Amino acid sequence: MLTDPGYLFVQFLNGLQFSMLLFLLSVGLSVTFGLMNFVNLAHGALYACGAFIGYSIAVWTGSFWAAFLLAPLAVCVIGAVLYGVLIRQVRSAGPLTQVLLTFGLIFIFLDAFRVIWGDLALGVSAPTLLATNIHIFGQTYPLYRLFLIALGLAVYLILWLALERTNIGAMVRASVDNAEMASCLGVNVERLFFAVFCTGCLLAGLAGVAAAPIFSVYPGMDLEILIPTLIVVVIGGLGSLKGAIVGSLLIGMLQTFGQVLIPQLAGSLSYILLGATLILRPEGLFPARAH
Amino acid sequence: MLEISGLHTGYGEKRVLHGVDLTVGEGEVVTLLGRNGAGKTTTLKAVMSLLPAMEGEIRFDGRPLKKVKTYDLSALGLSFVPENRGIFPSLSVRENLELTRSTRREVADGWTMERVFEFFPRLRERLDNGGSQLSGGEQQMLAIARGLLLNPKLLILDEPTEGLAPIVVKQIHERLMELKKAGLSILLVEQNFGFATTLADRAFVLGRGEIQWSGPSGDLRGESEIQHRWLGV
Ligand SMILES: Nc1ncnc2c1ncn2[C@@H]1O[C@H](COP(=O)(O)OP(=O)(O)OP(=O)(O)O)[C@@H](O)[C@H]1O
Ligand SMILES: [Mg+2]
Repeated sequence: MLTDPGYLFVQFLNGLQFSMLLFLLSVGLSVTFGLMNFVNLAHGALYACGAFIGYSIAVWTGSFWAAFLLAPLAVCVIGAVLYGVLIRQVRSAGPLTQVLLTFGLIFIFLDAFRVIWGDLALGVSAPTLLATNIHIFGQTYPLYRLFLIALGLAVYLILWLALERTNIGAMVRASVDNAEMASCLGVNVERLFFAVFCTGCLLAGLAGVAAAPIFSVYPGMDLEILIPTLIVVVIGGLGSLKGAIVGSLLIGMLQTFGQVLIPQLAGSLSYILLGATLILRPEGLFPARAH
Repeated sequence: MLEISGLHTGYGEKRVLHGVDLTVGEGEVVTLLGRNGAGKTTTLKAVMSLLPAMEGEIRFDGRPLKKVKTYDLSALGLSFVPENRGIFPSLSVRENLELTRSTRREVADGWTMERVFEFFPRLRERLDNGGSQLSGGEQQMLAIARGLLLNPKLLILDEPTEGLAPIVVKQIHERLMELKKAGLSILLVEQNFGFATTLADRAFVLGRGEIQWSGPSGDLRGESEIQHRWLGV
């Protein structure tokens, strides 16, 4: 089986698909972290929000695409409210306060999911257009998963253009480098941070609704993805798009092939890579801020 | 134009300034001198609202700056070139300059990229280099050029000659002289006594958190006692 190229190719696609999901989640987290040294542990909860809200919209409207478009926006609004009510108040507090607050949010969200949607796993079906299998190398592969890969790549491309080719993108990079200097040049760094934070929430919501047809939707789904996402952020390096995509690919592939090739070690492979990175390059592979 | 009166500030519990008074007039070049750790940079940070004034007041064009946020100062006409030059390493030289496009003070006949390249021709050649690939002198030129593109009324420079070769220091001196002749107001913090006093109209000497001497900078060159006591010249 392991020598069957078709099988390995399918695993490669699975790895790619998982990587793209990790990318959608880690990029927002990484850039907000790099911009303001703010770590939002509730980022995973926003991903779950995207999945739950997407589920409900899909049920009400009968359309996956309505859910796909509206759920990320809803999560973006939830993020903006969280920011206004809570996060803004602890922006200048130390990291411990921020970690405790956002850690607490995880449990509040968890209970909210239980109360609203119950404990059982919910299923969302892929849209009819994509609910078929295609044949590659004698294997069948769900078209929806290929769509997810394309989605991740498209988001990467859009973010790259926005960051590298627009004036606002240059302001974000400048503020990650040196926020004080950016503000001396007239950049309202706090407002920029808010915009980046909301974009991160939008992408987390997008990841949630996009993942719903593949994994089922249940309270606690966020905790499963939060740890690999944080590992991606640390390995990739804070604040950089390149770090987020490379880190996601590394962890996504490592976890997927780890389970296939060395299942006994699969659980610890990411941590081994994390440890190795922290020893060899404590700032991650591509930290945005030069030191 | 800039009036600092009775300024007290510091870092947390640590008081650095105990009542600093300093003014910069329209079209005037003023230098603030003092030993390492005297509080020169601290004074500039307070002007840029990077540090709150604990007591005293800072006014710019008659307007108190107490409630003005740092990012609004560029539009009022304040431009700050910090001591580490503040070049963004992730941005190219072009991007470092273009960053000011949406935040600068709009004036008729202001600074343009083209004028900046005539002023510092070296920058044109380095346009597509990364901010971190420049030499110290080029970084200083870029920092000043970026400051000028904001079309400031007052340009604030913190130790622009620090760590630069004598020939580059001479070039920067010439450029600043030209700005002075064009009527730009400048507040210059320096350790290089000759550089500062040949540029500035007036000088302020900072020591023990207060202004110990102020007057025409030509007079300071004759004050060997003050120089020895507060500047270690
Ligand atoms: N961020 C800070 N936190 C605490 N203390 C600081 C901080 N920055 C400066 N200081 C202290 O404040 C005092 C004044 O520092 P400041 O940087 O204003 O001096 P300076 O006159 O600019 O010196 P230099 O010529 O070395 O640049 C020094 O004793 C310094 O140690
Ligand atoms: Mg200083």
